[in-house]
Amino acid sequence: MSTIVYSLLLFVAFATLLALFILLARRWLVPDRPIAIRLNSDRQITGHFGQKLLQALNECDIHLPSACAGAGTCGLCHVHLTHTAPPPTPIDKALLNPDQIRSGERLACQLSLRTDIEITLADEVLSTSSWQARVVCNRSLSPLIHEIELAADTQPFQFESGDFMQLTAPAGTTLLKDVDPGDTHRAAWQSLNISQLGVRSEHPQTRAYSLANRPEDTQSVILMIRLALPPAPGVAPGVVSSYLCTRRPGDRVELSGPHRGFRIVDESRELVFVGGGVGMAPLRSMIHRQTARQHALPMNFYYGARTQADLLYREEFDSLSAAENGFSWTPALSEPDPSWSGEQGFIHTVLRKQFLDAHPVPASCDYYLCGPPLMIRAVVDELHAAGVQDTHIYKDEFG
Amino acid sequence: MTELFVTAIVADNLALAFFLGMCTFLAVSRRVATAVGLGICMIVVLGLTLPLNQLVYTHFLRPGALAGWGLPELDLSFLTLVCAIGLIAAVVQVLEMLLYRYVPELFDALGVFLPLITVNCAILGGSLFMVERQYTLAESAVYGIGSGIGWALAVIMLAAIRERLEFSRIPEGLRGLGISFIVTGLLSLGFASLAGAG
Ligand SMILES: Cc1cc2nc3c(=O)[nH]c(=O)nc-3n(C[C@H](O)[C@H](O)[C@H](O)COP(=O)(O)OP(=O)(O)OC[C@H]3O[C@@H](n4cnc5c(N)ncnc54)[C@H](O)[C@@H]3O)c2cc1C
Ligand code: FES
Repeated sequence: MSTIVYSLLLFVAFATLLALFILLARRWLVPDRPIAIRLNSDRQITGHFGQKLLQALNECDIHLPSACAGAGTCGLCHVHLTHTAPPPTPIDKALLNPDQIRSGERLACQLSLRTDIEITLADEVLSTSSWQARVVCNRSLSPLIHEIELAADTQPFQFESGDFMQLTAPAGTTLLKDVDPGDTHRAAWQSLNISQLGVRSEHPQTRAYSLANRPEDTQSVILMIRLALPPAPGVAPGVVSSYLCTRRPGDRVELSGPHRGFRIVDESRELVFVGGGVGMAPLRSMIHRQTARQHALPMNFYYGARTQADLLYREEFDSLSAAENGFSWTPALSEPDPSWSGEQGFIHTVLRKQFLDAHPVPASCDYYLCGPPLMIRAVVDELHAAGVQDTHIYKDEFG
Repeated sequence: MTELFVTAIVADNLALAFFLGMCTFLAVSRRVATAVGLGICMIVVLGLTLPLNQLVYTHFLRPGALAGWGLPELDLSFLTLVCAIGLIAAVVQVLEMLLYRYVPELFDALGVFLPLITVNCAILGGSLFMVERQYTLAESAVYGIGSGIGWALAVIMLAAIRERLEFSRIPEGLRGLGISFIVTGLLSLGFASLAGAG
């Protein structure tokens, strides 16, 4: 009996001592002291010791582009450190090129604040705003892809084609039975048999979505959201895409942007756009911008989908193509039904047969690709085979 | 003392004679720079926890340790294991904070293997050997530092060899961990041949 009592006493005393020792060390070594962050040498904000720079900036309402919400996979959140940059982390080295690292650029989501720092940010980053936008409209373009229109914070809404927004889904549960597939796609939606699924998130989650706005869409933010389906049975569907697809007009959604995405680099060249699935969004914005500017050289758009139901904005591109303004579009279906009279097969083969093999100098065009990673890889292989250099291939992967 | 020190480094090498702490040993031996950092951590942790555990053991846990408090019969040595682990955990945690504060690059490079030193069997093994072999305070300090140096030496050697192996043509099935096990075995033979030195 006494052994039990004494051993308990001794052990409790020992554990208490250890805890005290750790507490003391923490106080001394990990102080919760404020860290000054100077911005463009004219403004100063405060973060605290050990915090990630990205988070400190977000808390002060400065929204760096970030498509992975700080996970260290997108490489978009880089900032320039004006004086001394800390040694690059392995993630910095993987996502930034050696020139960027040498010139003092680092990923804000990987940089822990330990001493005061000074950083330079582009004006467009400082002017990026974040707001609670009202959902104006949510309609399904295909069984899985929704077009969501959100009220802009300022009128007119200032954006560039190719830019993207960041949307945040709050913590909570989303059920796919709340998705409204619309009358056209209701049967196809029901045959997917996924409306009993749901997803729960313990924390708010942020994801990137490209703007699908045409130049004349200056009242709202237009996004195309593809519901991310579970890759295997028993897995939940995507958090943020499920949340967005279930929004109804009048709901509020937190978003920030626009953030700089991929851009049309050289307007003096012939342009070829190749897209698949929801990769339509930035390409639609770019194509409308270029046709509005009366692009002098031909523009071609190759778009791949599975079935006719997955073909987005068909009438819109048909009429754009018919307008004799140098733009033409070639949709191709990989699993067409008998009523389809257009191109069949995967988009990279159609691109090769219809364009690369027919064009006198494929290497003289610029190629803008957006879509699923597998499609992009297949298209890039075709382009390489046709002698197109990487410097003329611009791609935005939604991986 | 010198003999204890040298034996701890060479013949009784915790990594290459007892094969203790193998997971960290194999996982953090890809770069010499990181291996050096880890080696230093091991020396510090072994060098600190062994004498501290020796003090706890002799003054509180061993049979009759509390005779001065009027409890000559009391034997709390069954608490050795939990006390040793608790103390090691505390020391590692403070070490972690120190690195985070002063050597963030090493902190990042070691990643999850730093807190995992807590349950590194080389370190707990050191403390248990100390109890079993009834070292005095001075002896356990010497043994702690010696075995730390031995372990560090082993991991740095393995890392240096693995860095070079990256450029050699190794049969496909042996690349990575396979060849590392073979190199570890060869190193172990080498160290064993030094038994009796010192
Ligand atoms: C610059 C940029 C622009 C983008 N633009 C668009 C756009 O215009 N439209 C668009 O729809 N998307 C776009 N994306 C992609 C978008 O940001 C999201 O990645 C996408 O919507 C999925 O996010 P989620 O939260 O719904 O899914 P997540 O919750 O991130 O899940 C992703 C996938 O993983 C699966 N999954 C979840 N848990 C597990 C598990 N345990 N095991 C295996 N799998 C699991 C889910 O089912 C889902 O399929 C863009 C991305 C970038 C980087
Ligand atoms: S936020 Fe994506 S890499 Fe930093």
